[in-house]
Amino acid sequence: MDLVKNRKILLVDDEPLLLEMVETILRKDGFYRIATSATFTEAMEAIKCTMPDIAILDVMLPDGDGFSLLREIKKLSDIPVLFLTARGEAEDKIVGLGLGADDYVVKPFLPKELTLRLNAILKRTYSSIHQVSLPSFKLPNCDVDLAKAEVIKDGQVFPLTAKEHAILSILYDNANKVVTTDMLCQSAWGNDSYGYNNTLMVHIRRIREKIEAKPSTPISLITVKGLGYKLVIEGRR
Amino acid sequence: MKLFRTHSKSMGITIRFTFTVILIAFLMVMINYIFLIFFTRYNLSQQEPTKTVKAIARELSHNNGRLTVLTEEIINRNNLWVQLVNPAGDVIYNSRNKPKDIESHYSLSSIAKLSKNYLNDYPVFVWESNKNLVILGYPKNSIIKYNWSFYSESFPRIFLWIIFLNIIAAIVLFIFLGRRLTNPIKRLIDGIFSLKQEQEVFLKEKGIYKDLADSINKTSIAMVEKNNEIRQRDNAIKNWIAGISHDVRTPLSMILGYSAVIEEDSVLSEEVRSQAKIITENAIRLRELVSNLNLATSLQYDMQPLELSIVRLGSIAREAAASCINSSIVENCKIKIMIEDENAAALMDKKLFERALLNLIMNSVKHNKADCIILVIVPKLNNKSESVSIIIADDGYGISEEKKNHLNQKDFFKPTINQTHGLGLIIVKSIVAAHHGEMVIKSKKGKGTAVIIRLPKAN
Repeated sequence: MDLVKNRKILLVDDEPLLLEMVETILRKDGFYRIATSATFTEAMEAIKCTMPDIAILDVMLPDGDGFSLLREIKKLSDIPVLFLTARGEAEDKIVGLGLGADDYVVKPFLPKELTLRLNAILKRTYSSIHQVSLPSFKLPNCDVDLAKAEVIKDGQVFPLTAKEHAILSILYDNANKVVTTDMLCQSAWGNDSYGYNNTLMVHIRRIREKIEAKPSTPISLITVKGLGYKLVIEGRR
Repeated sequence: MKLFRTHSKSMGITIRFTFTVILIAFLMVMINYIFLIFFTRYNLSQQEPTKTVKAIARELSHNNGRLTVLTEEIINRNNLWVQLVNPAGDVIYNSRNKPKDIESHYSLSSIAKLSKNYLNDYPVFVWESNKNLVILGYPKNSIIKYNWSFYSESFPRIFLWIIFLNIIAAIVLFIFLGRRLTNPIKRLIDGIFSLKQEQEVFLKEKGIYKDLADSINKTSIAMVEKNNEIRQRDNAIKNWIAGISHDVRTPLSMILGYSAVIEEDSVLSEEVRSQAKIITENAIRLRELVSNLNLATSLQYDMQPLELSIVRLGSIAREAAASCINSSIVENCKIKIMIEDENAAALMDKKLFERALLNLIMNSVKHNKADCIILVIVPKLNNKSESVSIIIADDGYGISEEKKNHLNQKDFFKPTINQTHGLGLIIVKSIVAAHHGEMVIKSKKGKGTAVIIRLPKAN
């Protein structure tokens, strides 16, 4: 049973057709407790009555704007809020002013873009601490447990150092994608300097020794010449 | 700071003006002095009696102490008179019309007096004639005799003092009276400088510069009106584009949302789903276009806030290349990266600038055949260079000379917005301009294209 799909959603948008469409998209994604309102006042009513778990707000409403609605909502409860915005300039407000919105999606959007973010916010907000703990994953030659910071290869346990853990984490977050050396240095040393490049190479070699069968011919942690590194994980995009 | 500079500029002009006025006044005084000295010393009216008395003296000595009838006639006609005095002081000859109040004997002291001044108010001139003395008398008040005498050494010093005192007097007078002259000019100068900085100006239209002040005022009004017009037009364009992009977004949301829903509906036939996919793809293209149009406009009208930080070009180049590879845009092409200078850095909005680089790389991909090589280069520049650069090059088809010149034009919107280019290059140009950089496209037909972006260096 997916608990996330049980959450109550409040949709606020002045465009009834868009409201209908978003509702369709959410239902297709498995949500079924959806309330909709087209105005500021309706939305306030709905919040008081149904006590939703998350609100999806449009910035432009006929009797007010999404930002003041957000402020009102935050006075009543601490539910997460996702903005749907058609205006480019609103993006700055949402991000820059720190109004307490959890995320935003710019219209027009692909259904996937909306549902991914919605699910992510709900997971982040309502999942217990154990569930958000660091992942563990399988590589062809070993098992990596980032929560315990260890690698199990051929029944042997190799602990990861703090730097190795940081590097492996960001590679895992961007699995099957090229991560530039600059980004890796930034995440491991928090410093934008190419001077750490050689140190990074040393750490990469040590990680390979732990996760690869043949560290000199890696199959999981691949060098992308001139750019950075890539962690190959089968079946993940 | 600006105000100060304007002030010092107008001060400079006022000082130069003052200096010129003083110089003119001084020169006028000098010219007058020279004329006065010339007239008093070498005046013709003084030269004439001297000549006459000389001629008479010569005639008297040649003619045995008598005047010829002709000379006597001329003397009479001009109301002159002549006396000849011997060394003892006795008059030995009188012309006929000698006034009655003239003596017939002169003492040494009276001779000394009359030689320098007047004889009973008659201006007289003397000359030597065979040890005797000739006195030539003119009618009363006909000639003013004026004697100059200076100590010969002190004369130049006195002259310098006069010049010096003149200059002092000119400066003092100018300080007290010159304001009347320079103040209106200073106001005009300040007005013109304000105009230069596009500030509104209003000058009082009075005094000798009335017409000038009027012209400046009218220019100011015209300038303000033009600026208002431009501002209004800019606002209209901004609102228009913002409005269009807003009004396009909502219907586009519907198209995109439902087409994606249809596309993923497994109940529907494969054909319908693939058609929906085409709708989705095109809606996404439209979405890109709208957001690009918005970005280009907001960059053009300085509406886009830049989040500036110092970024190494090597880092941003790798970032751009990596996102191209990750989003599999460059699947058909090879992307190579050459960082010759890892320290080259510039102040930039990282997201925006990466977008510019991505646009350029995508352009290379779009316009060239598969397996073309795209190079991202950060060249090593001279240490003294004030700029850093990044080059996106490919070995593809290249572009024609004509098109290249067209694309290199300064005005962003001049390069035509057509199907093949879209807004990509305009966006890149706007972003580079927002970073106070410049962009040059170099290309040869069949030899590939290179886009060079130069940015001000950051340390």
